[in-house]
Order: sequence, then C-alpha cells, then structure tokens
Amino acid sequence: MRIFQKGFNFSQDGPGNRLVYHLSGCNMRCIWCSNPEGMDGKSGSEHSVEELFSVAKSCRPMFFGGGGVTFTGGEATLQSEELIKLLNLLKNEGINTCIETNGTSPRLCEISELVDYLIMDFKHFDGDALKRYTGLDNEIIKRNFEELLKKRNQLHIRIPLINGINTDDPEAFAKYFSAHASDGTVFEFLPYHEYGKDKWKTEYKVKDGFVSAETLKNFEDTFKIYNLKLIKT
Amino acid sequence: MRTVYKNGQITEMAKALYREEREIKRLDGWFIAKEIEMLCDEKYKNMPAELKKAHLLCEVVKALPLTLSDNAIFVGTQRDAFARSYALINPSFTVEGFSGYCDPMAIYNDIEPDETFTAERINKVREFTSKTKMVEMLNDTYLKAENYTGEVVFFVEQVTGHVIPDFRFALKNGIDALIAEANSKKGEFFDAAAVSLGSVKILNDRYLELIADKKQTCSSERCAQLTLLEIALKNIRGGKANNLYEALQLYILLWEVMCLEQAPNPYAFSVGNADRIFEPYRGDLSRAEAAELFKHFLVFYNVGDRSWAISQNVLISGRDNDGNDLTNEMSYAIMDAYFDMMMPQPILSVKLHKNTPEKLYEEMGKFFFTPGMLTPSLFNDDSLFEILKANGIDEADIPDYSVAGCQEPLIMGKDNGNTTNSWLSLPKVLEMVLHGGVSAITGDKLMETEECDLNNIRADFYKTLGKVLDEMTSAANGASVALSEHKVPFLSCFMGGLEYGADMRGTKTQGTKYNGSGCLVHGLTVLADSFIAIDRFIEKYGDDKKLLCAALKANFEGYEELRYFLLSAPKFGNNIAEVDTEAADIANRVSDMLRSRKNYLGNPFRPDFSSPSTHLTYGYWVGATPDGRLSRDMLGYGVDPLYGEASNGLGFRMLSNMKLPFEQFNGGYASHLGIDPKFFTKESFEEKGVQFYENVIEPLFFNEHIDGISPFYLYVNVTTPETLRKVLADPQKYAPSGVYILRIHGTFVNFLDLSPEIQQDIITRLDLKSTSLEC
Repeated sequence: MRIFQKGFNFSQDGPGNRLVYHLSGCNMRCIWCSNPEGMDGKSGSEHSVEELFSVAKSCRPMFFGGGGVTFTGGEATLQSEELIKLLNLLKNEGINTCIETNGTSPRLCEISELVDYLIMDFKHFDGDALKRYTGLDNEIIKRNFEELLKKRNQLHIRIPLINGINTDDPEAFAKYFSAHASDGTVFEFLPYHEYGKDKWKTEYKVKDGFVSAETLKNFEDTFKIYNLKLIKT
Repeated sequence: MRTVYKNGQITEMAKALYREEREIKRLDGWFIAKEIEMLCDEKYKNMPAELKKAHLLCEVVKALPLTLSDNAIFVGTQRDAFARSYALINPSFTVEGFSGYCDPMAIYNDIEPDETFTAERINKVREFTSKTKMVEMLNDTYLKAENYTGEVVFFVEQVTGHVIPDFRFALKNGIDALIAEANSKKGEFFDAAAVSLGSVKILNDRYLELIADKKQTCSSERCAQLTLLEIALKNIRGGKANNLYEALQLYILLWEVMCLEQAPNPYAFSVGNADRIFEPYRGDLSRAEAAELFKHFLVFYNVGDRSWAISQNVLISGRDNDGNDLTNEMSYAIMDAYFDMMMPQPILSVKLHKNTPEKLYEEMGKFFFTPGMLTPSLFNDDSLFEILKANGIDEADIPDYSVAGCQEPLIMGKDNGNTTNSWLSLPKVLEMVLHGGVSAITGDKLMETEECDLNNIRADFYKTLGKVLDEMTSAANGASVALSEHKVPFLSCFMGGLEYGADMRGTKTQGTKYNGSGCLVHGLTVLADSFIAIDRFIEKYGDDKKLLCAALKANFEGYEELRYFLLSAPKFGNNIAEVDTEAADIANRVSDMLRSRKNYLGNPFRPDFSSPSTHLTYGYWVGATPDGRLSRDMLGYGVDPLYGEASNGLGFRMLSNMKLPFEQFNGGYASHLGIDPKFFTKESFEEKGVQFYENVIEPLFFNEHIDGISPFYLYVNVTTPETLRKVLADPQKYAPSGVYILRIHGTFVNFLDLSPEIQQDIITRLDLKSTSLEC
C-alpha cells in the first residue's frame, strides 16, 4: 500500500486515539484540498499489508479511548484490494477500524462491512457544481450514501463548507439528508481553512473561501430544523 | 492566629517577603559560616571528628548574624547555606565554559570582595579550606581521573544534600526526645548527635532574643504577631509541634540547621511527602488557611535574587501499599499555595497511581494550562513501588519514597543514594572505541583501547565500557570517601543515625538503612541510533572503518552524502522495532554493568538515565557520531529521542519510550514532553486537566496493554517555541512580574533568569513535532 503520511489523532478521525494512515492517490481534484501531496498516488512509500498490520498491532497501547486504526487519504478506497485485506486482519485482531472516504468507490458497501466507524464526505448536493470543483459528480456518492444507510446504522457525514462553492443553500443539503438519514447518522461541518494552501505546487484556486459564523450557524440551524444530528470533532 | 492576622494578611506578607528576598544580591552567610568554623577549629582540634563537627555547628549557630523581616510570620532562613553559584541559573553560564560543580574551592570565586568581605579575609578562609583533608583527598581523586573527566568520558563528584531527612519524629515528639535518645546511647556518634541537636535550641533561643528586641519598637499589631511566634518558638524549643503553625516553624528551623551543617550549597534536599507530613497538624484550619501558612513555608525555600537553593522538592499525593489514595486536604492546600505564589522554588512533584482521584487532575489543570505557571513533575507510584521492591526496599518503607533533586527516588530518612556521584557519557565511550582512545574533539589520547571492528562494534563497545566503568566507580568512590571527612551528625539524626550509631556518610559503618551511589547515564538514544546507523553503513559500504572514522573526524565536512545516508537510518522515538529494541538492550546492559559495580560500602551503583542540562555540556565534548549527529551538538535528553529525530508525533514517541526497561532505572531517569496547548480543547482548566490525564498520563503511566513496568516519571512544558520567543522579546508584556516559570529537568526555573544557551535549549527541546497529537 502506498502511504504518504501517518500519525496519531485523538477523536478527530474516529473514536478515541487512532493511528491514522493517509493512503496515496485520489480520484477527486478538490480545489480546496488540504493534502494535495496525496492526490497523484506517487508520493509516499510502499508498504506491505503484513507490515502495516504488524505496526498497527505494535500500536495497540496507544488505542485508548476506544481508538484503533483509521485509513484516510488521498482516497483510501482507491487501494481497495489491499485495504480489504488489511481491514480483515485488523478486525480479526479485534482492532477498531475506521475509514474516511469521499464516497465514490463502487466497493464502498463491501468495505463498509469491515469498518467499525465510517466517515464519508458529502461535499455538494448538486452534481454539476461538484464536478466543477472536484472533477467528479455525486451520482455514485448519493447511491453509496443511500445504500450504506440500509446496511449500517453508524455513519458520519462530513460537509466541508467553502464560501462561494457550497454555502448558498443549506436547505438543499438538509432536505436530501433528511429523506434518508437514520438514527445513527451524524453530520459535521468543516468550515474552510487554508492549512494545506502552501502545499499546492500548482495554482491554488480558492479565493475568499472562509465562511462566516453566520453562515455556519445558518447551516446548523437548518439541519436542526430537519432533525439532523450534528457533531463536532 | 485568626485573631492576630486579618483575612488575607498572611498571604500579603508572604508576597512582600518574597519580594524582599528577590532584592537580595549578595549571599555571604555561607562564607561567614566557614569563617566561624575556621576560627573555632583550634578550640576543638583534639576532639574526635564527629564531635568536633557538632561543636562547630553550634558555634556557627551561635555567631551567625540573624535577621527577621517585618513580613515574616516564621523565623528561619536557608540563605546562609547557599552561594550564588548554581550554573544553570547563572546568566554567565555557557555550554563550553561548564566544568562541573565538583571543585570545593571554586565557590570562593563566587563571592565578590567588598569592604566587609575583603580579598584578604576571603583568601584566609580559602587557604584554610584548601588544606582540609577532604579537599586534599578530592584533589587526589580528580588528578587520577583527569584523562577521563577532562572531556567527560565520565565525571564524578562528591554529593552533598540530595537526601530526604525524616523530621516526622521531631515534629511529633520534639527535639528533647531526640536528644534524650542520643544521650541514652553510648558512642562517639551519639555524643556528637546530642550536641548537634542542641544547636536547634541555640538557634531557637537566638531568634527569641531577636523577637524580644523587635517587640521593643514595633507596632502593636506586629507585637501581637511576634507574641504568637514567640509562643510557638517556646513550645517547640524542646517540645513537639501542637499545630500546623508550630509544625511548619519547627520544620524550618531543622532545615536551616541541616543546611548550615554542610554549607556551602547542599543542593537538592527534599521535603518529602509534605501533605502527609503536615496534615496531622492542620487541625481545624481550612484549606485556605493552611494554604496561607504554607505560602511562607514556600518563600523560605527561595534564596536571594534568583532562588539559588535549587532542586528542593515538595511531593504530594500518592498511594499506600494497598493501593489506597493518600491525597488529603493538605495536598490541595499546598497546590493552592504554589499556584498563588508562583515562585521558582521549591519544586512541586505529584505522585500518581491508577486510583488517583479525578479531582487531583482537575486541580492540576490550572498549573499545566496557565502560561508561565509552574508545572508539577509527575511520578507513577504503581511502577515505582514495583521497582523499589525489586531493588530491596522493604515494603513498609516504599510509600515513603520521595524525590531528592530532580527525579531520583529515595526513601525518606533511610536512604543515602549519593545520587549524582558519577556521570557517564555513552557516546564519548563510543568515540573512544572508534578512534582508538583518541578524542575526536582535541586529538588527545584519553585512554587505551583495543582495535575495533565495525562488524563487532557492540562487543567492542561493551568491553571498553567495562574498563571505563571500573575507572569511573573507583574515582566516584574516591569522591565519596573524601566527602566522608565532612561529618554531618545533625543530618544523620534524621537519616537513621540514632538507630545505627553512625554518620550517614560513614565508609566503615553504614549509617542509613539503604545506601548506594548514583550514575547519570548520558546519550542512550544517540548510542542506539549510532549502532543502527553503523549496521546500515556496513550494508552499504562494508566494514570500512577508515571511511566512517574519517567522516566523523571531519565532522562530515566533505562527507555530506554519507551523513545524509546515516541520518536516514532508523531513529529512536518513531516506534521502529529495530532501533527501539537496541535502545532497550543498551539500557539493560549498561544498567546491569553499573549495578555490578560496588560503592565504598559494597552497595551497587544505581543507574539513573537523566541529564540535567549535561546533555548540552557533555555533548559539547563529543565529536560527530555515526547517527549523523554533528560534533559538539547536544545529546538526547535523558531517555528521550534526540531532538528532531522523532517527528511522527506523541503516539509513536510514547510507543518507543514504553519499550525501555524502566525496572532497571532504580536511580531514576528523565523524560520531557513539550506539549502544544492547542491540543487541549476543553473550556475550563479542570476539564483540560482531565483531558491531559486521558491523552498523556493514562496512556503513558497506566496503560493496560503494557506488560512489565510502565514509565514512572515525566515532566512537561505546555507551551510553544513562538510563545517563549515572545516572552524573551518582550518580558514586560508577557511576564510583568519578572517571573515566567518553566521546567528544566526536575526543577522549576524562571525562564527569564536563565543563561541564553539554556533558554535556547528549552526552546529546541520543546520539539513539538515529537509530541503532536495530530497528524
């Protein structure tokens, strides 16, 4: 598996303290991406499934607070063959598993079976707009979202909020979600930041992406009206 | 007391008293004490040494000038035992200028002649001291070892202070009870003990006279305060302490005499488990009232403008042998006193265990998360109980372990550990092995070694290390035997002397229940990284020792590519099994080798993997090392990874750390985390304190997945390099009181008082990448 970054995070990428692997390569080209070095699939280094499994086991003392291993990216599901192998090994070892995904993998429902905590991005309700800013539309994302809800209770949806890109119509998000969400579905807003801006080697195209407190509140209030559960990590 | 002092008045007086102390620029008391001893020497010259020392102590106490501030609620000072000479808080300290603080004559350079203390007067005492047997024996010891100590292959020193006296019996029964016990037994030591104990009564009487004088002219309000003090002093002149006020006062007097007995600079005496010592005397005083009194107790430990009496430790909390928590109301009162006073001394340490109440973590929150506030050192009782038991400490004594100095665990009143007796630089030993005993720094031949083979580097290293340890322990024992000429009958009474009938420094009869000698082992992780880098080197370049040594001697100039290659080898602190196992193996082997060496009484040396700023000063004398470290750069601090080498965050760093054999470190060890406060997101200090427990303390100390002994010591600084640079650039704005407290190894320091090189070291070693809680 190609990994471009690893480290521990506490409760930001799943419950408790987690060993987080950033898998190299992504099928989206989000113009606000904070890990652009992980897009092309060439950065980082190759590791065997066995090696990563062995490291994960050695990290068990640090999986406190219900922690475990999280795979994010890039887009973790692009390396789905090996990811599935590793998730299987971890599950058998009783290590808590989590993935953070953009939701575009055709094998997501299969992978979901091996994942204790699933975090999925949902960047835009409008497929055309999504394609404009990321290169992909949201047809498969919506399909995966709807299918996942049939198969699992827990689902953590993350919505990056970027001024001028997806902040005009909170109700459109809320309406779509409320039509499908289950009791175990939680939503988190990720207001725009520029932590990754300096890492871009090509032009950074987001201008004035920061969202106001008012906008954020508007999203929160709207989601509450639709009885959607919000969390912050 | 409630009728004498108005609400809050005791605190106001404590703060005023501390301000007065910080104005004191000269410390001449130690010199006067030495001069009195010189002048009285003839009078007692025919007496046995122990008894002579006891009488000299009485002479010092009789003649030493005494003062009493209008802001004092207690009498007593330890100012007269200390000099302005502790290197690290001396602004003129430089890494290259550091030559240790072992030379007993060096202190005479720290007193500036003036009209009262003329050069002639100083020289006379200097001359007298230089001819004492102790100094002659020390000189002889250093002369024999100078090839090794000059560039610090090892270093040795005589250890004054560094124990924890047990004053509990004296507080409970009074000085007269101790004197009676001494008088009931026969022998030179007991005679000396009785005389030396009497010095406390002499001091008490002199303070009573001073109070009587003061009362002639003071206000009626102050007169009432002095009367209260007078009553207390009369009660404890020979008798027991009846309340907290009297207990603290008696404790202070005992401490004053104890320090005077071995002036100058008996560093690192420790109060011990202060909450347990004083709680029985608190009576109906509230937490707030007890805290107010304790503030004056804390001021007592601050000497002069920079709080020169450094490394004195106050411990709170902890557990008993059944795992019951021993936190009490006094624990919280002591914390309150510390928080409100914010002084650089004495050090606060907190003993933790798996049943420590959450309230304690909540109350610690404000210490960790208030910028510039002191942060307690943390000890893991659950681990230390096991380690002490495995090293022969009786179970009944274990809960009484305390900390003398930075982190060295010793049993209160029963353990003379000679903790800083010897100092060893592992990377310098490797340098000797690789370069045939020739220094890569100066080119001087320092010792004989056999030709080494890179393929056999480990075996060659341990063989040479064995030779070095033989020399080191011999020199260390020489220093201890020399120091035994400086008798301490008074201190010995609180260290088991009245039971064993011997001075605690005795070299023939052991005057304490437990005895050992310490060795501070430096450069563990540099050595581990170096061994692994040599393995990688052999894989790529073969057994080309010439190439490697040439690169090291050239400090990698012209060998940049090779250095880059060596730097890319696995480094400790990143949860890489190969190098972590190497570090553990080195720690095991070095500890076993040390423990097999015996001190002057035949007791084992105790491995202590700590480096109180000596990772800088010893690093300065180590040439480039095979791990890619440059010549004269610092070594890793304690058991920590070398700064910059553990860049994968706290999780991986902790995992590497946990693989070390902590059961071996009965002499102690040092480890520091510089933590970015941004990771602690909760609102209140209390919640942040609990968050600190959950994210740092619990995984490190009380981790259920760890087999064997968990880590038992940690100190932290919760700040960022940017914050500290701002404090330095604009102290008026960021530290208006002139005090911005940080931790440096086991002790608190005022960051603003430090030498620029130590300030820089603190900033460098924050090394926030190694403690990041995010990736």
